[in-house]
Amino acid sequence: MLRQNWWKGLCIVLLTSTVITGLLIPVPARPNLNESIRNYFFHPPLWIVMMVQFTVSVVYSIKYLRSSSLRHDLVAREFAITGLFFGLLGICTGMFWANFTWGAFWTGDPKLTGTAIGLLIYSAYLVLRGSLTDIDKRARMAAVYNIFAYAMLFPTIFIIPRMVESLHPGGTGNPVISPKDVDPRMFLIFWTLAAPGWILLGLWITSLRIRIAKIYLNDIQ
Amino acid sequence: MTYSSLSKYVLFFLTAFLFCISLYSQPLPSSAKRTSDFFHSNGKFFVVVGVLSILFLGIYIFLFSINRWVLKLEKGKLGR
Repeated sequence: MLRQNWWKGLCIVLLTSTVITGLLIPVPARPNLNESIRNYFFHPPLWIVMMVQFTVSVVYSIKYLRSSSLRHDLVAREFAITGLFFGLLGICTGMFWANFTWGAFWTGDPKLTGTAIGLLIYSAYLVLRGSLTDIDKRARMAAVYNIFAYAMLFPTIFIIPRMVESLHPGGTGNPVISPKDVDPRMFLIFWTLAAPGWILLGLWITSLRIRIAKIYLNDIQ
Repeated sequence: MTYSSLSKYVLFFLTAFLFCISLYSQPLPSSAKRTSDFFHSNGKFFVVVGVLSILFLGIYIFLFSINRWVLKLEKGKLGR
């Protein structure tokens, strides 16, 4: 299925319509945010993509522990790398947005601290992989570490930031998931166009990386 | 078109783009607006433009790194 083209076409259609509608639809007038509220279609989806990628990654890590097949380890690694990349993109775009709404690139907002910790934990996953030379040992340790890293995501980006005051909208809830915190039309576009489009783009990139990595693996074995 | 000539084109456009930046660094007449004023103008609409630029620039860089990986593979180098 991954080699088929229809879902890549769907990805392009969804993303193109996201950009066009995201820039053109009338948005509710909110103080301070003003027109920059349109970033809702471009910044939050990056975090959704990151979560999807990390979730698939941990599933393949568990699969590796059950099967000891290096192919599962490779898939887990590539999903973690792409997830980390989208997380970094989320941080960069978020910092840029914050500078013009909150007045600084980096604030002590608990969500920022939490995601920074989460991304550092996943960077350590790659550092751990790079520090081991034995292929099987590396795969096994990385798989175990990946499970812990994934478990740590929940307190750092879901639980702790919601227990304290945040500059992010939605307060203790989540404006992305809860429809009552956001304009219904924007909410609809977010979940029908933006989120699926960006998720498919992430899958597309990762599937290419996996195909390349598999050729490498075949060369080594 | 080979990949190396493609990257030459990209380098050319990036350099051309960098030269364009010098146009913006010229002092503006009268009102002497700062960059932040530009982003605050038009209901902060240009913040969205900035975010989209960062996003797509990042994606292009990531795609080029994958592209380089394929190139290495085509040349038959092993290992990472």
